Amino acid sequence: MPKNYERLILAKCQNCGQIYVPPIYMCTVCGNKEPLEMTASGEGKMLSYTTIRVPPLGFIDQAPYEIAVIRLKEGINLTGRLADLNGRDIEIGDSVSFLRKDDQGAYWFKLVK
Amino acid sequence: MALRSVSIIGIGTTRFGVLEGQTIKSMAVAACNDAIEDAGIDRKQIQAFYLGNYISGMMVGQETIAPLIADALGLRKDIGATKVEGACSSAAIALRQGYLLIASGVYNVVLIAGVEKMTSALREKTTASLSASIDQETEGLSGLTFPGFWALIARAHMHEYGTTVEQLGMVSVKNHLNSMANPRARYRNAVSLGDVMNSKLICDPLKVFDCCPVADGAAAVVLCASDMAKEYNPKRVEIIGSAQTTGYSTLYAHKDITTLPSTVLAANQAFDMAKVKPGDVDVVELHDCFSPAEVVDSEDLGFFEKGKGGRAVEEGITQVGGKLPINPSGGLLAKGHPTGATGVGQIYEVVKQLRGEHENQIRNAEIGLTHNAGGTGSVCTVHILRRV
Repeated sequence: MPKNYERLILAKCQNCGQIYVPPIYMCTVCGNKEPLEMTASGEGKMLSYTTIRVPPLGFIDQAPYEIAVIRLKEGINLTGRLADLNGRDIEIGDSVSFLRKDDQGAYWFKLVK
Repeated sequence: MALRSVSIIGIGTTRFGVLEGQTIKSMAVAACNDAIEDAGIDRKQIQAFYLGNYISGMMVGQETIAPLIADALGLRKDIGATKVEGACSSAAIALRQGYLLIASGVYNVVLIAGVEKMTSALREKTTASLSASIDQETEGLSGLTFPGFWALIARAHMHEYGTTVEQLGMVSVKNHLNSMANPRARYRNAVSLGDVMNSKLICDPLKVFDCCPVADGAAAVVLCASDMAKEYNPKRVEIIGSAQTTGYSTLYAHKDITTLPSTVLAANQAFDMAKVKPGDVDVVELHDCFSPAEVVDSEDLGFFEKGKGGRAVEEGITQVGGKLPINPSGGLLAKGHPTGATGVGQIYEVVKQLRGEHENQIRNAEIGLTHNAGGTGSVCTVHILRRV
């Protein structure tokens, strides 16, 4: 697995500082055409979660699986998958940390005890 | 520029459901012919045709359907036939195109339709087609689906405002009850709260009965400049508000995941334009693709304070006999959701209400509102209609 898959890479506008989930094609706040990559902390809290039991094509062999909206420490949200739950109870507000981005492009997080 | 007043002078529709043997063209032609006949016009008077459709290419392998339908209808050859696409808002966007062109004085008579053929496709094809309005460069890569999108919103709403799964289930119970009287609905059976709660889990906390069924169907209306409309159908209904807005491509881009900003913006615009307030509305057909959507939409449209939509359902406010009846047609949850036809299907239901002809008639209904949120709320339409 390429090294940068283990870091959470976001996009940041060098002009106004706005942070985005990539890919973006320009900064929609200030119009800057050349946002740069940044490495995020990978820390966040769960805003919501659910279990997908009827998956779309390309995910059929993975179902059922947990998906969550995460509020990152950097102040923006990201939709990602939850790994290694092993039947543990999860709640809104739980702390999570970034694990990896997979080949399909999904961001994976794990619960932080 | 002062806008001209625009009226709906004719309505037509097919039943929504599994229409075996019916095609995109046969359904659209049937609905359009009903609308033209109801309007009392000659089809040669039609100066433009706008069609809403979401996914005919992926579902049945047919594109360029607006001119094909116009040809099958025998419309004039010196006019344009245009398909517009905006996921679940497709038909309402078509309506708005016709509205704008008459309001601005370009045309006097425009035919609008929406159509979708869904039930003949394989289930995998249907799922893939519906997922096609999730951003496949970002959120789609995580395996998110539309039930998933609304389940995430539902759980956040429950956490933030104390909305319960029972309240969500009551939306489905109400809309199924409403559809029993509606001959155009896909499902016409009552379901109990127990039926909903015990139905198969799709995407926690949403169960089968919290999710709308796909359907085949078409609906059509004839629009006419109001000053000419008097010559035709005396039962005309005026369009007093029309708005279309743009939202976010992903759920994560929403700072607050209990609200769709595109609905809030569209409602504000439409109410301003119509010079009426949410409290003036007598009947609503809104986009209940999933039961939490009805709760969230009813708040975002301004009918209830944020967080109170679930309680409103529980208190019976949104029932046919309640203070603000929502989805007396059965809504998407029970009438069914032929995606590209739904927006005009809602218009059909509200026009029948305002004419006093509906099977679930709201007494003395004068003002009605329709709403569609397409995709992730990336596109939204609101229309407000008034009895003349």
